[in-house]
Amino acid sequence: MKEKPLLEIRDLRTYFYTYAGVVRALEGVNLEIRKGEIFGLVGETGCGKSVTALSILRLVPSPGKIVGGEILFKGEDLLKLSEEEMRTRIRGKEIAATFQDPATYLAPSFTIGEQTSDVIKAHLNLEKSSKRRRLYDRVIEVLKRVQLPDPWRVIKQYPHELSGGMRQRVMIGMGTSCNPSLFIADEATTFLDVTIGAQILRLFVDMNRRYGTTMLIITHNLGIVGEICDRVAVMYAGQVVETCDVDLLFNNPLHPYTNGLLQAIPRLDRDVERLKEIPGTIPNLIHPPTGCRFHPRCPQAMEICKEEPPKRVEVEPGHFISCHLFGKI
Amino acid sequence: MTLESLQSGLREEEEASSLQEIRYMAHLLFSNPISAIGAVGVLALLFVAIFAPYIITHDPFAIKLSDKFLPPSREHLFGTDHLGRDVFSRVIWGSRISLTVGFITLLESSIVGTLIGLVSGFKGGIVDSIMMRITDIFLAFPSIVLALAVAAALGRGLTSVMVALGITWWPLYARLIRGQTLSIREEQYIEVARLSGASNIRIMFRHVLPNCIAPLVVQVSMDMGFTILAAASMGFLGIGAQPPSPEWGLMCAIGSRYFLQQWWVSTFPGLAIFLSVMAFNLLGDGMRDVLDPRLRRG
Amino acid sequence: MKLRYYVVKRLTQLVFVLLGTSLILFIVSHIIPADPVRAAAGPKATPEELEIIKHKLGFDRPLHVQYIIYMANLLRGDLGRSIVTLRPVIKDLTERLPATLELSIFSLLTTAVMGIVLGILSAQKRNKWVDHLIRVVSLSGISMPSFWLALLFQMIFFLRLGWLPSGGRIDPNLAPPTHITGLYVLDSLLTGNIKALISSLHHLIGPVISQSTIGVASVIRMMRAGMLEEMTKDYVKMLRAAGLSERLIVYKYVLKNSLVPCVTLLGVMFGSMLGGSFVIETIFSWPGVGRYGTQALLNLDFQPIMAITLIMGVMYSVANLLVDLLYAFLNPKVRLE
Repeated sequence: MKEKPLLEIRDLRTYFYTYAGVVRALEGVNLEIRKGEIFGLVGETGCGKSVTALSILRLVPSPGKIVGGEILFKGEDLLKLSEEEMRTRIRGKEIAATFQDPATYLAPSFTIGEQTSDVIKAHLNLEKSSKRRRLYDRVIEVLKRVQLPDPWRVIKQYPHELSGGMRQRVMIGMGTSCNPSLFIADEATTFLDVTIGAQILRLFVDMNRRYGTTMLIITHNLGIVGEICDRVAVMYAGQVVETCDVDLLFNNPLHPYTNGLLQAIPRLDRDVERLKEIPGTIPNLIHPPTGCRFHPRCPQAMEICKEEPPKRVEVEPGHFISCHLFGKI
Repeated sequence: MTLESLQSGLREEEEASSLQEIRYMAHLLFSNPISAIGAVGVLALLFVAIFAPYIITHDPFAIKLSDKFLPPSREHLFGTDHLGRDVFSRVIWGSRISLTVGFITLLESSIVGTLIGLVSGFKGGIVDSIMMRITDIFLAFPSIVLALAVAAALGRGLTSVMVALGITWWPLYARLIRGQTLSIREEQYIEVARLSGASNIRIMFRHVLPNCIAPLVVQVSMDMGFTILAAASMGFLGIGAQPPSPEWGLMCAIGSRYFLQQWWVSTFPGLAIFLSVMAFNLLGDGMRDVLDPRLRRG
Repeated sequence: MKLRYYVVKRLTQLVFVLLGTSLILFIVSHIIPADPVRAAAGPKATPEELEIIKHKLGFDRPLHVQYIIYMANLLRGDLGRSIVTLRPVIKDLTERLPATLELSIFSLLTTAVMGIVLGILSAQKRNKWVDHLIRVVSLSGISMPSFWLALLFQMIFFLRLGWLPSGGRIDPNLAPPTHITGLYVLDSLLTGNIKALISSLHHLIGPVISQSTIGVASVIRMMRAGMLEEMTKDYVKMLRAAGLSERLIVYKYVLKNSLVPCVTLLGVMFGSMLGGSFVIETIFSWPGVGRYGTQALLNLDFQPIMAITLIMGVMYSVANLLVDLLYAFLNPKVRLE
């Protein structure tokens, strides 16, 4: 009997009501993340990965709104909770996140210690008597956990005094300080050097193994996915097109878009004259293509692809795909 | 593609885009309620100043002691002052003075400031340092204070006020234009012009200057209000216009002696100042809102 | 760079600027007037008096020598003599300076507090009627001539309502508190003189509100714009994702980051307080430097005019320096430049 997934997103729709028109950023996102796994969410810039993360936390900035669907976390629909409950119970406590540019994501005029202790204070009730001491210890512990070399020094420093890698660790530390069940890392390594980024990835794996934290790794970099993720979902233009185990993704991609992505990766073992790119550009989300959103760029598009959006089908256990090529089973 | 065709192409682009920008600006200006009200107010003020001779009900300078201190009535809309002169007509006539002073002051300071700012930002180096030190020194005084000193040294009268205010305002424009010049200096089309052998002066005036116009216009529209206020304050202190001139600040000063009983003598000129400055401030605010997000876009 | 080096750097800049200001004033007082001698002597001097004054002031010496004399006098504290009061200007100034300082400080405090509070309110209730009201009122504030506002104030609160005194620093029937600093409020606090304290505060209301109204608008705008912009920043998103309450985020993090740029405004505000003192002190019969200056202007009494301009220039520069230092202290990043 399969265990219930930790996070289950069903038919999530998030729109942005702008002056130019309604941007249908997420149009029916479906996702299942199992407990204890490292789940990757991959796609081009603008496909809606970050919006998905924000939707889970219900932090979609205006003029955006979650207009439909369900987000079931441990069986509870997050979209039905009150703002107060989201803030006290979920955010930072059960579900935490870190974002891509730590330079701007840490408050500039406050020390690391100050910010981190505020995060901890928001969730954990420490007895009044030894509060300060325990808080201090807790912050040190958090900073140690993300393998910062000199936490006693870092506590007193300001964000601009730290290097990019250290800031990212601080963010991760702040995020995981209250032992969340789900940790979302949105483009955590994009702005870091490759070597530093690799360290951060190792940190994620470590956290997952040691504390059992379920991770949602959002990235546009297939390499990262290949390196640390167990399962992965591929997003395109606001929808999930394929979900499967990482090995399957690389060895037997089924969706034409996934195929295209993999073919576009330069390879060391082959001589290639030109990188094979997917023709065309990502669609306008105010007036998205009819039917399947990928059909204008798909080499295998059929008549039906223009008319009807494909249904989500489980091709093999754990392997989901939304494509008319695999429609009728 | 020859260098000439590249140049002329760029020139055309610049001209077309600056015309487009002006039209776009005008459109945005009137769609925003705040700046629209301001624009209407300013236009009304201009109308009043230009057509003053047709609007006034009495001769602004005619003294009639038998009619002194009459309260506002249908004949004397704003009442009369201590010499029996019609306050309404004087206020209307005073609009010409305020607008002229404001306009000339800003003209002087923007021209001087722009020239200095252009040269300073463009040349850089020692010239820049010296210019900036000089502006620092001028800016070390609160502007009114310096203006008062200069005007006092030059002797009483409106010309002194205009010169004095011009002297105190130019550093602000110099700084503004210098900043703009510094950022534009790095742009590509400057490189192109330079490569094609254009002299520095030509580059400064044909290429850098037109792109400084936008923030300059915003600044001028925002400063117009303050200039009128400054001139009025100086008039109030007796340094600006002299009696019997119907300058608003002066009228307030003279009227302040009688405000216990004859409140209308200083209230109406003051109100005129308030409304005029408000109109310019609304316009300036609106223009800043209009231009700001666009500036950020670039 | 460490704070210490920044301080030293700014101090040297200050010295340089002060030298420059004295030079400018020298130019203004010695070169610009068509007849500087007559300007210094006043309109009623006889030809003999003019000659005497000409020699006394050294106008018959070459220009650079004049400048040296001028600087030497300045450093000695000799700022000339007033034609009106017939006393050394420096004496007149030292007597009147505390009054102006007291007024400026209170006005600055009021402007800062009101501006920050209203700015926060305006940002929080963005685009609701409270916001619009505050914005309209603050815009009116900057558009109003200070003298007009002061006159209206007197008319309503003194004439019609009788709530406020017409002028002066303290009730004419009361003796001013023992002179320690010259600031009546401070002195009465220090000597425990409650009556004087209340009366001084009462007399401060009119002038302070007139002075503040003009500056408040700028502070409100800056706070409002600053806060609205800060709220869009990424760290706010991060703190929300971490589960911090909106209250904590706004009143601790956003506020601090928005306040810091407002600090620089304080310096400018001080400058406009100084400039506005001429008018306000005259209307409220406040015995400060501003009223002294107005008198000097009316009589074209040159030595005091130049002296006041110089003193205000110095005060303004020092104020700006302090503000810059405060800014560097609050915003650690600046020190790196």
